[in-house]
Amino acid sequence: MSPAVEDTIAAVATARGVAALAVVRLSGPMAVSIADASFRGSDGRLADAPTRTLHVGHWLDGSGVPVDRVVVGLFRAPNSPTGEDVVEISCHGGLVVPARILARLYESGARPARAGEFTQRAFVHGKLDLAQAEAVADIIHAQAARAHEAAQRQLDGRFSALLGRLRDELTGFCALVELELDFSDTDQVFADLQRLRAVLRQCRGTIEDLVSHARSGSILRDGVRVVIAGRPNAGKSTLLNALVGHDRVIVSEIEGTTRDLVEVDLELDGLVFRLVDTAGIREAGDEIEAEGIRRARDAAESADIVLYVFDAEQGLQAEEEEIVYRLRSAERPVVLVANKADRAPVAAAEGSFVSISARRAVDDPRELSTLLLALRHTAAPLVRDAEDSPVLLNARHRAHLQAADEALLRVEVAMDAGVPGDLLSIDLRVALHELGCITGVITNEEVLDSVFSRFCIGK
Amino acid sequence: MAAAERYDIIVVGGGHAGAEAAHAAARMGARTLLISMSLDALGKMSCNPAIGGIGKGQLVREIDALGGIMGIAADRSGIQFRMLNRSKGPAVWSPRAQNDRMEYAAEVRSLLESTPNLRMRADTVVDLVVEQGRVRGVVTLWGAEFTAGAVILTSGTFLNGQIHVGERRSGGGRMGEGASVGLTAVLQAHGFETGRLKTGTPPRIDGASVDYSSLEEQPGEPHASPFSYLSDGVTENQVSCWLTYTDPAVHGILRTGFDRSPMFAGRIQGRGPRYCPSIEDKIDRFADRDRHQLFLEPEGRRTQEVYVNGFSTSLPEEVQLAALRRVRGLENVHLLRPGYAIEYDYFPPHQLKYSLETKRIAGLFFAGQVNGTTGYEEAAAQGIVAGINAVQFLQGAEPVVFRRSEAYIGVLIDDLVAKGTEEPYRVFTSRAEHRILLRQDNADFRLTERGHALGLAGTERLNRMKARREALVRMREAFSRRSVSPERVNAYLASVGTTPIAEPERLVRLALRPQVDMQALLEAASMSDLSDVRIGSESIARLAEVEIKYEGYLERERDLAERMASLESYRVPGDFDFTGVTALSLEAREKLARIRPDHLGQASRISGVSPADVSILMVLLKGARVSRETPGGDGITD
Repeated sequence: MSPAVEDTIAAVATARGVAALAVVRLSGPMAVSIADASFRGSDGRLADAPTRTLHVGHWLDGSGVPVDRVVVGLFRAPNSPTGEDVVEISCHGGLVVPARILARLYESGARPARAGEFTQRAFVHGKLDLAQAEAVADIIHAQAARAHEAAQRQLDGRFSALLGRLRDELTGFCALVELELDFSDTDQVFADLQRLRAVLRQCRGTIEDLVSHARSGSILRDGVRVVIAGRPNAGKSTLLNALVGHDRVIVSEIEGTTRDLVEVDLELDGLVFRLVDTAGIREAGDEIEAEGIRRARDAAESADIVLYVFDAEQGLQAEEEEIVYRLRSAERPVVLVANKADRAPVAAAEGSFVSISARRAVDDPRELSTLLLALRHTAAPLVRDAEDSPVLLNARHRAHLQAADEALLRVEVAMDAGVPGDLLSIDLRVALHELGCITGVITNEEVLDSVFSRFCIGK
Repeated sequence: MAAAERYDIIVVGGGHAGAEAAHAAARMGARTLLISMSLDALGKMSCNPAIGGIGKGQLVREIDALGGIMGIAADRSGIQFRMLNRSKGPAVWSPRAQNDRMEYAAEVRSLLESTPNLRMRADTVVDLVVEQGRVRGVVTLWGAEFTAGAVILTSGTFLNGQIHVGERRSGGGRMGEGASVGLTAVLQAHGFETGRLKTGTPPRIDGASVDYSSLEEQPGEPHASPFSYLSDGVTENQVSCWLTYTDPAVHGILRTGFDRSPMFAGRIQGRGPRYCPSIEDKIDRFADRDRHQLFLEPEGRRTQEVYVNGFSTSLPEEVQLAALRRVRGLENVHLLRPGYAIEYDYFPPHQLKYSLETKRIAGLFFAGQVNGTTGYEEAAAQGIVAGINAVQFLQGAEPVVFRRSEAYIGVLIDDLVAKGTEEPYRVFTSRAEHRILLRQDNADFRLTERGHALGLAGTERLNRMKARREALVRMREAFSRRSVSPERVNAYLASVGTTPIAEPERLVRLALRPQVDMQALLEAASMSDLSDVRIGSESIARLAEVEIKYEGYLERERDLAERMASLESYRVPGDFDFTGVTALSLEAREKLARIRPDHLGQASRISGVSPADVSILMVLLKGARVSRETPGGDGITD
């Protein structure tokens, strides 16, 4: 039997739809000859060209008729994105041209790539470690430029290097603790428990830092989660529609129209804001709405920023002040929005707020400028935190880090209780195992599956 | 030449590996022949007169749980018993015994003689009969030929053995016994790689010339635990060991012989064990230490011979003697036999399958020191596995392989086969990552059913294991049900430094306290109906306590073991071409192609194979698995 990575795979690497350009990617041992079958370059065959070169020419269909004028990038193994021979064909965008080029590649011997297969091959050829592979997934998932930068940092292996250092510290200690077990008669003590305590504290501190940054990391990947909250009929949905510029949510004058959460993305200065409209917060009128309100509460609690909308005519009610106070004490930034400012001057409300008319804003985006400024202003420190963090955590990383942290906590507690070294080493090894699952030092199937299944075809 | 005698299995060698192999094969019903150069040397302890110790004690209990003989022989011939590592957790408690050297060998011989289907023969095997890659029998020095379907080679340190004392040397496998020459060349001709190792042994002295009055006594433990699950106890008439120390003057004398040391002068090329260094190594490498411990171990009840543990050496005899006479208590010592170093051939164990069958010749098994290990217990453990698997081989049955989370035997063999060894290998508890599951107190729970199913462990052994298991369940029930009053236990609780109780407390709650030893607590509280429950000599209360106290740890370890085991489900197809996977590092490709791991778990433990390499193989083998599960799956492009 020979290893499975002998065939050549192809896929369109750019997003579908209308665009100026598209890239079709080809990887595998036959990539160059398959491309040469259809590419007529102005400087001859790709087979004769050196690696890392660009070539201009025509792409021909099966009967020799030009399909498009293209630029072809040639990367020979092993110094290529996948570690195999790679040919990247930049052609005109849209649906037709890339599809015809791809069809021709299949005719010539390539096969369609499966989801994540390019990255999988890069991994197989030692181009990426697991955490780096996941960073690639995050690049794809990242919807804006800033997330791309953070993912790029992880791709450099900084995260892996940090975890590697932690693992080395713990491994050294585990070895010392275990060594003692084999010296009975001499009663030698190798592991300095005071130092172990220090190492544990340091490791737990680092892990907790990483986990607490996970939140800001997710801001870059998933966008800043802005939850629009307020009493029924305060104008939340109208405001959301104004922000995104089209009727996304049904708006009516009847209280409680928005029974579920509605999510819309908004891009401002290269940062994605994920706007979430909630059912009005108030005592439930019927069962479905009770569920909507429960979700609204949860949503407000999971928000990065809460836009709390109230009726300018009525002012901020006592129970609303209570809600806002609760959110702020949980360190949830709240932007107060006095809506319906076209109908009445704002009634009593303490502190700072933005006064707008959402209804006017639907037609006149300038109405929103103060609110947008406030939003950017509130998001800025959150983004700064995220950018300072060396890492971008996903849910899998977070779970392993937390498990490692718990195991180390057990070691600390056990040390205080005078538990013998052979037992301490069990939890030390659990922690090592969990950390190893992140960087791929420990390999198991679920890890690989979960990593590779997140890729879209073509990357 | 007379017509060849026919056997099912031939065991070459009668040391600790050979004895267990022959016994196991014969017990399982195979007509077995044991050929040894000298039948007087069966079961001989060529180095220290002791069985067990850290990690090793667990091995002996596992061998016993499977139905082997080492534990029984050790219990019957023991003259001092102790449980090592008591100050540490129960996972690393290890039984150890001093044994009467002559008695031990006599017990082994008698156990072998009473084994049905087993015959013995004194001779030297000089050639193997191999047809079409399969072993068919052996040829001896005296021209006899014996045929068999499987052959187990356990020739210890005898293959091209070379003994060194100072500048003198002679061929031999043990002091006073000749070497076995020729078999190495035969195996090399069959393509086996060989290597050279060395080990050493200390001088033996006459106990009558020792001044014990100035030495520190090290007595045995009363009511010590036996090795065998069949033993009800061990002798209370125990013999002491004695402790003394070297000093700078002793070191100075030893140094005068360094220029004539076979090791320092480079006459010995083989690598020795780092963890069991010679005294000259110790003073050379740890120059800052001004003393080293020496244990004077009695060799038996009816001899004055004493083994000087800690003083292994191959310096010239007159240097050894002069140095010993500077040691306290040994001022007038009479030397019975000098210490010596021995060099011998071994077969780097990556040439073995997990069954201990060689990869090159079907039906040929290796066990013991020929595989690069040191120690009686390591040899015996391999012997029993080789004996079992030779029978399995003849019956066309699946090989018996123990997982690392199942037995020290599994750790030992996995380390050898997956990692190989370049110095004499001994077990350590630190090598067994799942050690809390592999305790000396539960080897029977782990292994006896399997031993019984193989026809190796007898009914009595199985019944005792079941009785212990049931007693354990009842004890745990009693612990959760029954309470003890403050006045009965508070004195004990205070004595071990834990808080007294105000109200009656359930036993299970007290067992959870780290400071509490339940056996002692029950005795203090006069709850003799619980403290007296013993099967064999083992306290069932103590067993229950370990399970209760460490439940969380046991659970996590089992979980971890399971997660690690997943790699073992990736079988490597026989024709998998490692050299074709250019993504693997060069070193990994070379080693994988040479070792040809059975599964990914083994691959992951080969030095030079990185986790990245393992991930790559996982991706590839997964692809392979999918395409094989889809016969004729042309539609699936993989």
